[in-house]
Amino acid sequence: MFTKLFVILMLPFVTFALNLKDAKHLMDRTSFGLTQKEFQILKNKNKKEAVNWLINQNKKDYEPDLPSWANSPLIKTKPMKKMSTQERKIFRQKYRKRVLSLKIWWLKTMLKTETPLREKMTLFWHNHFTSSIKKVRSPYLMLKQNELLRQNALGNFGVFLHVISKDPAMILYLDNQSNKKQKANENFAREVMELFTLGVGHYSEKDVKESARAYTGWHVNLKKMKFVYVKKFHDYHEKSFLGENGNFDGDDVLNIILKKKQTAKFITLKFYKEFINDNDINQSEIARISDIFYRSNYDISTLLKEILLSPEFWSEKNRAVLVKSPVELIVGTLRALDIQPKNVKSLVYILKQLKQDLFDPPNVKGWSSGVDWLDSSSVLLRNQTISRFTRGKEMGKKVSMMMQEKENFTFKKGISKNKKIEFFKEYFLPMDPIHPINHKYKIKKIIANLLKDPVYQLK
Amino acid sequence: MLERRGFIKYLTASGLFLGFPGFLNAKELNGKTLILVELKGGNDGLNTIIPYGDSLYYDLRKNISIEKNKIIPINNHIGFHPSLAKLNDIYKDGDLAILQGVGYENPNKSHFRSIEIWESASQSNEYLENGWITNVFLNNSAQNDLDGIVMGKNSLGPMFGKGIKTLDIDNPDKFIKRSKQMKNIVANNSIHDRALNYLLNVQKEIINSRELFAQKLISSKKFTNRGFSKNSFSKDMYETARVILSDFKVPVIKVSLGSFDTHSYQVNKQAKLLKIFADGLAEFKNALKENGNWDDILLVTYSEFGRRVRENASKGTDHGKANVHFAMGGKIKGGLHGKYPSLSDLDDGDLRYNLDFKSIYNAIVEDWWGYKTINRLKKYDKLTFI
Repeated sequence: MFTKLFVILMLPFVTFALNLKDAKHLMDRTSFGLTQKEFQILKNKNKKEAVNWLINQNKKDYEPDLPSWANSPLIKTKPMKKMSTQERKIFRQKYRKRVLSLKIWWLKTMLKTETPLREKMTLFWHNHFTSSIKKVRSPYLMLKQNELLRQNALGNFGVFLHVISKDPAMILYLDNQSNKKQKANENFAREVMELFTLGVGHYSEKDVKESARAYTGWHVNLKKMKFVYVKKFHDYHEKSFLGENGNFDGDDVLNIILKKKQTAKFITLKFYKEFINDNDINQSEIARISDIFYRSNYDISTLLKEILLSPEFWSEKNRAVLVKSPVELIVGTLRALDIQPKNVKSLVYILKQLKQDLFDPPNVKGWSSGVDWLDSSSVLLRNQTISRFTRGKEMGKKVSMMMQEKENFTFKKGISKNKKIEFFKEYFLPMDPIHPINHKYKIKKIIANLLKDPVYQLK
Repeated sequence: MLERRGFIKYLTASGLFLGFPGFLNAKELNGKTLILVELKGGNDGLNTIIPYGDSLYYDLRKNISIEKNKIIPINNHIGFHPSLAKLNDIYKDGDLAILQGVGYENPNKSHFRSIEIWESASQSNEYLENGWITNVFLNNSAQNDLDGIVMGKNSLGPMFGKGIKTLDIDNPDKFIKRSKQMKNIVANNSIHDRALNYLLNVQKEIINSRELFAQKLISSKKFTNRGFSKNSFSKDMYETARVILSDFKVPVIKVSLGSFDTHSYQVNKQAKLLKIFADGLAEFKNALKENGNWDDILLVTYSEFGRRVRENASKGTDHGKANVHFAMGGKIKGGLHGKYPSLSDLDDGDLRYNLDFKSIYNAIVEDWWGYKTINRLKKYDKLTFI
């Protein structure tokens, strides 16, 4: 009886095809907004089919075109100290050029990708397993790490944790390079528990010290730019960690961390905040989903599917409650308008000013999210940037022209202006605008005003 | 009277001043400004004010200690890092207080948790919903133009949480330029979306501040940045001085400098940052002295924690506990406050604190601003440094 009732209640949830609002919600949260092409596919699917399609589409093996220098790291012919002023200057110029090229490359990848969920997850993991070019000082290693994040983005979290811990950029970023027996460096040991797996309060200071000893010897061979296990630096003495004793190495310690259900809970909560609501959290859903995640042996796609099919994800009260990150705002706007900008370099600078400089998060916790994006200086700059897009300055192709084309592309002849406005309202905004729409304006001006509405900053 | 009531009604309707219980008891703030300098990442106090008279210092820091003959002595036990020459000048003028052994009970060594404890003035195991400064202004509402300004790329810090008027700007000129386009928003109480409400409040604050800056800000031609260095910290200090000279009623301005998280190759990194810090403070002092506002400011530093006494294998230091801090201003009781922590009696390898940072805050609230203290600070005896 109850099952029957449940099925009936759930029926509308799974059977009906997605309307424009739902399709936009799904893609706003999981990709960089909804494109025309995606809407044509999604409008024939129900929620379950849509989520399955989205995940399967993005699970395919995929590797974007890499920058031309991807396989040739910048090598110093001699140490900086021994270079002449001129040599040093040339090296620094080359270095800066590569860093810029790296940032442009990823931004371009996001702008044109056919697997936006995969890119979005890569960005998510970049913000979880953070590293910064400022400390790593190697565009080559940051690119390798980025590839690793992309490959594992929808894979297995346990495997992911092991490989990222041996990733050269990570080792340099969290100082494991200098973690040696008798002279441990605790930076990695602490952050792996505090930020990557368990969260504060689920380990002691002693666990930090003991596990730091287990990671001793995980180093980077700086000539080959590869991970190396240096046995003579490893501490082979017994360690006592999270209630277990043994002669642990780094892999053992990571496995003990993965045995804790708290790790699954911590990651599930982070997904909930990213995809559903970062403020109002349904704890029983966290418990239910983290249990499934743990039992799936940390399968990330399973976790994501559960999150996206949770009634909370589709609930009205959880719509338009998240703030777009600067990357989402900029990449999403250009994708929604079908613009491939010629000058991506200027976008890199805008992102830096908006405090989301790719490959350079502010600290090991990554970028803070949600309303933290909205301080007064960022709000001003966000508005200014969007206005500039709508005026078409700096962009290779005039946005206003694009808008005109879109109008012709989307609708059959004879459709009323009101219907068109209604479509664009739902296509661009997650809820009704704050500033009322003036129907007398031309469509392209109406669209420009929709993008400048405060609600456009939300997803 | 009518006017005033109408004004309050407008503010309440706009949602800005909800939760402002003491509004009618508003009190003039006598142009007293607190400048907060956040040393981000956890500055190593042991290499800032250096116990060169203690041989343990050199034993525990074989690679990263500062040579005795380079240290600027304060007494025969401690001295300034060589990069802090300009601070020594201020110290000799009696305008610098050195706050030693600052920390709190049950210290936490996570950057994020520890800075939260400092910024909310909470107990180590207590989570509060607003910063200590936010709480002060919620309980002692003054008619400030703005309760706080964050200058440069930086966070709200102790001004987080709802109910006070804060503004976060790159610099005043950019703010004026960018805010011109912002559309006025009609108050709408029917919005329940938290993020949207937040955004609309930020926009309202921008529009209010836009008028204020247009009216009051002195031009950069009148007060030039001559005498200030070119780095971004000095630029922020210049803009801070400019706002103070513009006679805004703003009790708090926050700036920051970093990163002091020197896990590796500390010596050069810290030397560079400390020089920027000391020079910036000296430039700021000169500008205010020249313009006669030196007695109206109190500058105080804070940081999430100090660093481990023993160096690590990468010529750096890991997260520690107690730390040294500075307070500067014309009305300060210059000199040494608190005790320099012992290097032999350590707390699990870290310095022990003897001065709770909340004693400093408490003095700021009552002795500097002349406000009623807040519950979370009450039980900490005021440090007499103002």
